[in-house]
Amino acid sequence: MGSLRFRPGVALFMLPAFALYSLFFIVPFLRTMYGSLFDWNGMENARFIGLGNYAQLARDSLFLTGIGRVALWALLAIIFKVGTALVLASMLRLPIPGERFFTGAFFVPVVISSAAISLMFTLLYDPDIGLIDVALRGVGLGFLAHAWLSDENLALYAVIAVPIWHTIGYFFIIILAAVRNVPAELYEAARIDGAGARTLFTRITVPCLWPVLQVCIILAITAAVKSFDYVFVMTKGGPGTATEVPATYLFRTIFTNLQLGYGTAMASTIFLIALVSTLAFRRLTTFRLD
Amino acid sequence: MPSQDVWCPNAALTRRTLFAAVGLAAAGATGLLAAGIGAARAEDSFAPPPMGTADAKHVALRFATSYAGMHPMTQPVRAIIEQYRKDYPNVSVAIEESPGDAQMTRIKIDASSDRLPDLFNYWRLDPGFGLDQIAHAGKLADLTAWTRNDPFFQGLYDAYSWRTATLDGKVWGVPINMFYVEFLANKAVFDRAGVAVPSDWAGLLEAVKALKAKGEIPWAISIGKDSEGGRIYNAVVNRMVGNPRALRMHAGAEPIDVPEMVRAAELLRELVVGNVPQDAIAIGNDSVYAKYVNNNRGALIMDGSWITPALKPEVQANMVVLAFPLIPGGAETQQSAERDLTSLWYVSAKAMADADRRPYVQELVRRLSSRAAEKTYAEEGKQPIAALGVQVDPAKYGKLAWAAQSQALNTPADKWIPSVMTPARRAEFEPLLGEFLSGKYEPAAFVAKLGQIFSS
Repeated sequence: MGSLRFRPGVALFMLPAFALYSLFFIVPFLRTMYGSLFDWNGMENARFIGLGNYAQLARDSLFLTGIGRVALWALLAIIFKVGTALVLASMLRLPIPGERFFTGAFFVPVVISSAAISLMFTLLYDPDIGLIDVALRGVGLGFLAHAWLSDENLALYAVIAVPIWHTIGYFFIIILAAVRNVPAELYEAARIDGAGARTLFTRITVPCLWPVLQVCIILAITAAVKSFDYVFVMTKGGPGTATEVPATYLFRTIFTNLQLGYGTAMASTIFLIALVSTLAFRRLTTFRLD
Repeated sequence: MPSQDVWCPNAALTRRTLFAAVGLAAAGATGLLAAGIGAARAEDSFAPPPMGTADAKHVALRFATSYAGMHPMTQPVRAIIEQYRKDYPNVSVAIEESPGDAQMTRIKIDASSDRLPDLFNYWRLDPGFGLDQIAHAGKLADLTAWTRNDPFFQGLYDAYSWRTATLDGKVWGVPINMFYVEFLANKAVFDRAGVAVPSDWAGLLEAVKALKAKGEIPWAISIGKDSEGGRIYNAVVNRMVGNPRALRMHAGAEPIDVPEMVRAAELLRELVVGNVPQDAIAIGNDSVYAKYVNNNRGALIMDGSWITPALKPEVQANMVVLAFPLIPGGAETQQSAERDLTSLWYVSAKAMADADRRPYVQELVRRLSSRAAEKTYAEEGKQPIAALGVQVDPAKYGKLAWAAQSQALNTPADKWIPSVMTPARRAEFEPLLGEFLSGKYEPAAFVAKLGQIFSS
């Protein structure tokens, strides 16, 4: 049997890809990190302040509150987005009548742009003409009708619900492909041993899908940390600052306030948070099936 | 139909002085020509480039504008550009549209990436809009020599407009239009509720309470960021502490956490909190007009003059113009109105430095700033204009707008308070104000938070 051996000459073939990767990721990333060490408006008189922007960030209550909000966002996304997608995919593991319709129906929202979805939900949440309040009043639950995006206690949840609903189909498709690759023999053997539906789900489906679920959870976490478009379109961070998340705050800091140094410090911190939370999650949840 | 000058930025400037100014300008221009401006023309400094030469060297211009979509200025500006394209077939004008405040963001992004459009409209050079930083960075063209020496500009604007276009002794922009704040009452709503239209401060407070008791929405406004709620804040604060002091406070030059401001916040709360649509903090100004104003669902509005065209004609017919009342015990003892020059044309430093582009950009600016252009801005775009000596038909301008403008011009001008804020302070102030107007804070707590923003 032969062995895999690295031959230095092969590295030459990697150079074009590495050059592109460097040009479009590594260099901009390093420039961003470097820019975060300056007090700069993007045009003139950049002043080196070392870690001053990071020190200010550590005291910035709006940024820190925003981090808390995306942590909540990530948690809810994992529970409801990945959870719902897993349940739906498990229901369609075996062929059933209308399977193609359901698969399509679950996936359709994913192909719509987030801006369009956000505008649609802005109307749905409207207290006068929004379908949600109209429906609640129609079925005698008018006391639950609300100005969803105007209430600072509810607005964040109203916003978070939209991307969760919007992208369930994306996770559903990933998990469906994986669940159909779980060997049927495992389920048959478990059934012979007397396992019920719940045991099959918790002891076979979830463990076999775990690597895929890990990826889905990581995608959910990073999407939450980077979340921008839904907030920007639906509330612009309001009411007040009740739905401000780091990415919208970053946008405002750079493009409204022209504080590029501070903004790039925020961008670097958001990146580090996404990286660390992803690595930590993988480290803590990776186990070997023996 | 009689016609008259539509805008007089200085209230003391009467029609007679306007005509005199135009006459003097004409005489001055003639004199200047005789005295040597002709020499400048000989150098082709100000002469328009020759028209109708498709085979001339191709020039590409980028024109960035917030006059897009349904904005009333879109069509008049487009018409001028179309004519310009016909006259200069060798020049391509790429129109880059960013409606509303999106223009601020795009210009800042363009400036920081060193690709400012050749020509664009933008707000004043006040700190609140951020263009001062772009000018300081040398990315805007210094128009001082051109605007002072080109006969085209002689007598076109008054001294205030030129001062507003000036920063650090240099002229950076060419004025387009003005704004004033309108305070309007929908008489149909007042009549429906059986409430009298107020004429003083006590009457205003009483009317708001009575309207609410009758199930009407007293204020058809948004209280989100950069909304009508801010206009009412400005009016109450100006009445209480006076505009000059209010400006100093919001520039961080004088303490803001003072008893007079707490009193202003108390009055503001009484006037506004709980008296706005339930979604007032979540919806934008446009939605307010669609949902409340144009459906006769709100009694009072207070907004910039640019909104008049957004009102349906039948709603305009219901509107009466009010003067925001003086507050007993307040610093302002005579009526004032918030008004200013609001939009200007700016040219990038690169375009002005480019010998190929400069004459074509200058000609485009001249066409966009001509009295004929300003007349269409007033009569078709329904905007109060900056140019002097423009004869505007009041019927075309609109009865309501004309009445509101007449009232605004008859009072001293207050400057818009956020104009003195840095962008970062404004970004903190606006959400805080929205929260206060939605009832989140007590007046003293609100003013204490203002103190944190403006003393830092």
